[in-house]
Amino acid sequence: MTALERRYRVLLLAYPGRYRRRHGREIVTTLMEMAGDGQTRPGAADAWHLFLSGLRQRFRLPARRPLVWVAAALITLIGGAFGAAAGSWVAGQTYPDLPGDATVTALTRQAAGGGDDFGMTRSSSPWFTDTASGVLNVPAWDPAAAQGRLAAGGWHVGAIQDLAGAAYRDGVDRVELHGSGFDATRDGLLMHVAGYVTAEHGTVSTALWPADTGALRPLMFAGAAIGLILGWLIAAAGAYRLRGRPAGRRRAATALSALAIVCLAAPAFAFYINVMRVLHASGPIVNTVHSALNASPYWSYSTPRMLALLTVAGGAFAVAAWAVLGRRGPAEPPGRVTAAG
Amino acid sequence: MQEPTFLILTALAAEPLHGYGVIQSVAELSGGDVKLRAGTLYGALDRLAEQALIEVDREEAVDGRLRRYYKLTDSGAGALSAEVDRLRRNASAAEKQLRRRPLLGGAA
Repeated sequence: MTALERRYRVLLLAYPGRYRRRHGREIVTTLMEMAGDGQTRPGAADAWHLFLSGLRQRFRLPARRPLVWVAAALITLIGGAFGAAAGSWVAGQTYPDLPGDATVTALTRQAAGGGDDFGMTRSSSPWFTDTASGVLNVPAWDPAAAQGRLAAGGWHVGAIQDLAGAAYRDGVDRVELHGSGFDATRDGLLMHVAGYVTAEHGTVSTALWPADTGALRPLMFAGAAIGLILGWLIAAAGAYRLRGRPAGRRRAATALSALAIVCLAAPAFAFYINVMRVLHASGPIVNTVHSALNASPYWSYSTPRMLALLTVAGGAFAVAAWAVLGRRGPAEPPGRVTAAG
Repeated sequence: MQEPTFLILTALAAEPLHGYGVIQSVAELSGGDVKLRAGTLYGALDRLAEQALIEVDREEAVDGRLRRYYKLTDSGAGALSAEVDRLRRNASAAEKQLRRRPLLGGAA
């Protein structure tokens, strides 16, 4: 094998494997016949053109197969959604962990400056990052003094804002409340402190979640772009693998692919809704895409783990469909081989 | 039908050709205007074979290398013929329009 032929074979790696197995040898023959005498390497323009032709081939779908185009579009959209979720998850790894229960207790007491009847909750949302919150009953509260205590503890405190709220006396009578609050940040955590004190009753609450690091949007977009491309490439590769398979395997692979698409459509739809929530977020809380898989019902009629289970089921159907298709595409096309030259 | 596709089908109309043969024939048929690259040629051949307009005629081993010959199918001949009719109609219409064009210029 000459150096030129070897270089052409390297460039052919841009083509999908099934295409190389089908046409690789004859393409090299043609390229060698087109090459000038004494040529040892492909021209830059020819090399670039061959590389781009190979990439284009990877994105091609079989002709005259409208259902394949529909399936490819759906798989691409699903790929984009899961890519956005993956990017969001990677961004989530840059966020600090929420503090433990003892720290939340201590921070709430520090913000309240006393009080009793402490309570805390941790919530896992399908729309945004996990939060931890604490609450204390207090007879009186001075937000400026709370700012001072937290600033002494290393927190960077924001301006005090008036807050409006409401409580229900005996669970029935609505009582308008006026309070105040501020945000404080430290070590990548954001803590919202709010206090509502009336003549009868007073509470101070804290809510903690990771502060936005600015990593989410770029990683979400990058993940979506990669997912869209991978989705299309998988669909194209699968469509060509489907050709030439026995009818039974084709039917099985098609049915499994359809089941995979049906299962993955719901989490993908939820991911896209979360992408829109990220893009239109206005408050300090950090919306994420991958949180749709949290153990929390995404829709009122869904169960807490419905989307996670659908994702697992859809992934299993997709893997099974790929396994049914088999590893390699059709072999060389039939032709009478003769020796010449 | 795009020009390279039309020329490839035209090249294969008379006899089966291998890849380099198609490239040479297309260059000759187009008066040197269309010089196909290997990537373009095999992309088109693959697509045309999918559409059953061409098919593999035979293969030859030349100096250890594979040459695959392609030929036009009946369906391909029909598609080429329809395209020729379409181009002829368009060319004829263009000629008629040009003949109706008023002569311009002259008086200074």
